Amino acid sequence: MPTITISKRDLDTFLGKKISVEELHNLLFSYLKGEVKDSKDDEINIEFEESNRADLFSAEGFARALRPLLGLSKGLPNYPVKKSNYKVIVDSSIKKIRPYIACAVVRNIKMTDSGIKSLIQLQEKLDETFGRKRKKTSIGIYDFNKITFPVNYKLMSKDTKFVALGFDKELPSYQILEQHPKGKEYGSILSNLDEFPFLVDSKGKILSMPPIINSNDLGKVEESSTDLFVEVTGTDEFAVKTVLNVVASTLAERGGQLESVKIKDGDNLKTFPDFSPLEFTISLSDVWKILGFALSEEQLKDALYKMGYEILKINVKKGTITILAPFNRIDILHPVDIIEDILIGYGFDNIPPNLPNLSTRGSYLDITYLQNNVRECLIGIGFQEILTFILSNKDIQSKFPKIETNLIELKNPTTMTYNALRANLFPQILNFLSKNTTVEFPHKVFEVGEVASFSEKSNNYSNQETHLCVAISHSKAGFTEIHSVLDVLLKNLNKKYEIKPEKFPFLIEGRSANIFIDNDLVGFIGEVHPEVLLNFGIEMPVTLFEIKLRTYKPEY
Amino acid sequence: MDSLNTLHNLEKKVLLTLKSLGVGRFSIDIISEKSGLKKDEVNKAVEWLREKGFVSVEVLSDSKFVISPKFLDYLEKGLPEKRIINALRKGPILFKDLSQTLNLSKDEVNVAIGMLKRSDYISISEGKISLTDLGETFIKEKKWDEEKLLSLLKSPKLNEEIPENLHIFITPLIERGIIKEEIYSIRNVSLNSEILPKLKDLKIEDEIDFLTSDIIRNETWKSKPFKKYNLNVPPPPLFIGKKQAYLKFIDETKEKMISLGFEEMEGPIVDLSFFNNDALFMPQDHPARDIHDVFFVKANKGKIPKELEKNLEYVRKTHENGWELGSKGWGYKFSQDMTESVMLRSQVTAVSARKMLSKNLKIPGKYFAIGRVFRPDVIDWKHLIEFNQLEGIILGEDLAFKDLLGILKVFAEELCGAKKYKFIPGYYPFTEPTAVLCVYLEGKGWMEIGGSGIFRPEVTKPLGINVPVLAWGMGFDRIFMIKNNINDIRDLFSNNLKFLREMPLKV
Repeated sequence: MPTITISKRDLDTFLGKKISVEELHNLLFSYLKGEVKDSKDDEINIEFEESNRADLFSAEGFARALRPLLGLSKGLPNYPVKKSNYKVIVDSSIKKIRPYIACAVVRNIKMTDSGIKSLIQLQEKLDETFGRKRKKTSIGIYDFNKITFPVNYKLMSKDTKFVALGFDKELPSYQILEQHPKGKEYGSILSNLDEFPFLVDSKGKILSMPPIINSNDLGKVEESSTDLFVEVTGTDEFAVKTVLNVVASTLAERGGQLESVKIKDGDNLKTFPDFSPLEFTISLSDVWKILGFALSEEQLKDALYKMGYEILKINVKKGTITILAPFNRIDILHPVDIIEDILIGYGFDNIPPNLPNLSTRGSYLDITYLQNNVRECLIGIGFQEILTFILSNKDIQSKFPKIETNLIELKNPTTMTYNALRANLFPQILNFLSKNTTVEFPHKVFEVGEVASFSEKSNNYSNQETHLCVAISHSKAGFTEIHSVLDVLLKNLNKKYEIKPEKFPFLIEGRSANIFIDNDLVGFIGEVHPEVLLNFGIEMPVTLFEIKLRTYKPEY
Repeated sequence: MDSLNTLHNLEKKVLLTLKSLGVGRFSIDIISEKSGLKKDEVNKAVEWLREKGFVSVEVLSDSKFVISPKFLDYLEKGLPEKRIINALRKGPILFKDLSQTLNLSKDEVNVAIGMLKRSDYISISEGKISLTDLGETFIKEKKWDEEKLLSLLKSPKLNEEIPENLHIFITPLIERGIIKEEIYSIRNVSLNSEILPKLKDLKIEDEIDFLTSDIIRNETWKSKPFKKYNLNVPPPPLFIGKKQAYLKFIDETKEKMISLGFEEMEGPIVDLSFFNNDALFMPQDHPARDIHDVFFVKANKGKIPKELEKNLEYVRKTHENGWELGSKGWGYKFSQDMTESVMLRSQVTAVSARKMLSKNLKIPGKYFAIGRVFRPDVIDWKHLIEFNQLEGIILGEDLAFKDLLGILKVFAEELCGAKKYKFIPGYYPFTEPTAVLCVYLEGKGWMEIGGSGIFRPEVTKPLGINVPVLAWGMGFDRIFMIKNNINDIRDLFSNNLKFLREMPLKV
């Protein structure tokens, strides 16, 4: 969930109208999937749900979306772009690494403090969210007057030396990846390559090494810079084009004059920024089907205009509507995205909820019935049900030999306390008892829960079972008492069982056994060995049993 | 003060005994002797009477002396020094042989020899011990009164119960560990003066205390009165068998879902990224699929089942370029390794994905699941790394957004008990349109408690579903916490037995 900070004064200026924080919050909430987190003096913090509405990540873009909602404008925004002959030449070598680039020139822009902040924030948020940490797209901004065109976009050796932004001496590029903070952060995008992407001007001066870092001379933007060169490189053509549109239009809102840049890619010549709107033709019946009822033409138009769209034509005969979406809407993948905007523009509050009339039969899973029978039985005997984590600790789970320990371990645990899944419940239950040594006895507890162990046979590499563990602890707790519980439980479940004496290192010999149901080994029962109890800090006898209630077999 | 009528017969007997003994304090032993009651009966009755304010109890501590159990054989064989001197009268003995000859431990020998040497009763030369003349004289005159003391101390004795002439032996024998001092307390009981006049009418009646089947059968109850109990005595604690409160809430929620016509579904907790993410149109480079946001398992490569290979192909194409769905797709190269990686389920929506692929899927159909999900986080009062989600899907030919709102309305009212609720726009990669349910709860204000939407065609079509699918998920833990006024999310998995026992049952 991206959070952006905007200047209230900026927003009012771009809107041409003062707006209260509360009003802003309500508009965000109802139309733009965001909310005001807090506001102080001139600063407003806004949190967005949708990482794809990157056109909103600045006061400028934000104002653009608010204007039609407030009735201050209608239709698409228009930013004039002056034609120019600045050229960027794409070398074929770059194709397999980072093939796409789009650029623009912005002239006569006065960068105020809040303007610079806003631009940096927009660049960072776009790189992080939509740009997938610069992997998909990344933005570079330069002082236009230092560059001699045409600029070349090409691969060069990883030994190429230059001074990275913020450094004071030349280093080979691969060392910049290791030493520069941005190199450390994003270097993995270029790792394993012998040649890195570079932007170089016609005098051979390096602008930057995308998507990592600008050079310290051409790539340094001073507060006094009034003319900027903006480039976006990346792996997805549409994304690169649209991100440039977001940045360029934002600078135009600030008062900059846009000039085009030609990208020469082999025989292919393209001109950016490309502000041509996105055209969609949508079947009205699709809209009504998703909404659940039809809107009047007036309501439909009103909703679309509110959300910033232009309507080209409504074909009543065909039942279609053709609309234009603003060029900076990065998030539209499919007509359903526009249909959602129609619903939002119409207002969720205006849609009457309707309980669908589907006759279906409700039913529990078989395992739920079984679990409930087991639980009911144990609660009837006087046991307290407990709930422990499925995540457990490798050492705790594996320190009981003879019990299956084909543990599923986490590749990226956040804490060593939870670095594996439980394969059995009883270590969790002993752990539970160890936390309650000062609580009045007797302790009679049980848990029914899922356990999992590693299995090569299943598609998801795991074998999942539902287990039951029952434990009793008090000064006279012994085998007979726990045996009675097992006996009455299995009789009530109509299961014939057998116990066969068996040695377990963690149970007292002669007081421990395997449990069989229909000749299948399903678990064990016994008195816990004093040494194990002391390891858990328990000084009261504990007897327990654990049985498998079922093996879960997913359909796939 | 309690009425005398409801007193237990034991209490009545103790009171009457004290009355007969006259003014003063009397020990439990004396009361026991005079009343003919057992000491523990007297103790019990005195404790009850003290609580009722009828008697006062003065507790005194005193010492008693007793022979240590491991030296009991001295009573028979004599003290070590006596045994050594007696043996020496027959002639000198090698020091090293002493222990074995007299069956004494090295320590016992050393202490005794030390004492005898200090008094010059023996001499030692070249490891041989002989009795001195002084020793000869000593042995003739010695009366061994220490042994009289030891035999007296077979049972614990107070200082004053030991004859004056034996007192000098007490300290040395304590130092040698042969006798030990035990502190014990004496309880002296006296009647409270205000009770005295009331005792006049106190009679011990033959009453029925515990009703037994003999009494019922023999009709003794016709001739004897029932003893009246003091009903205000707090009962001893009793621990009932109980459902874990959070699991009880899950049970109740399942019941509600069933009553609304939903069929319960489930899926594995360790699952392929394919079901958890890719089948839900979550792009592989989406931040929520990052190593910081999901748990992967070691040796984590699974396999897509053969029968789903076609669906996998559609999913791949949809991600890359939108397949034939009129969608742009995400515009990246889909990775087979990533879709086959094995992870801990991070959203129960994975179960919905599996259900949509199931051969037994019913259309129209309503399904729900309550399941455990796992996400990396720092554990504190607001965050856990595993928790439960309530998720569901509804499939049907004519389902629309207004129907989704209808379902959400039922959840707001039924599950949350909210009278006010509203729907706001939201975002998930797999639903469009998306609606977030907010409910207004007294004392809490507006809260977001669930996300929902209609699955995108990019989700349903590759899975072979051609009807609208309404999908929703609830912050299940949160609803429980609000309803039960729990502020610390860790209490849902509480390992505090006292907390679990005392948690009131709520609807």
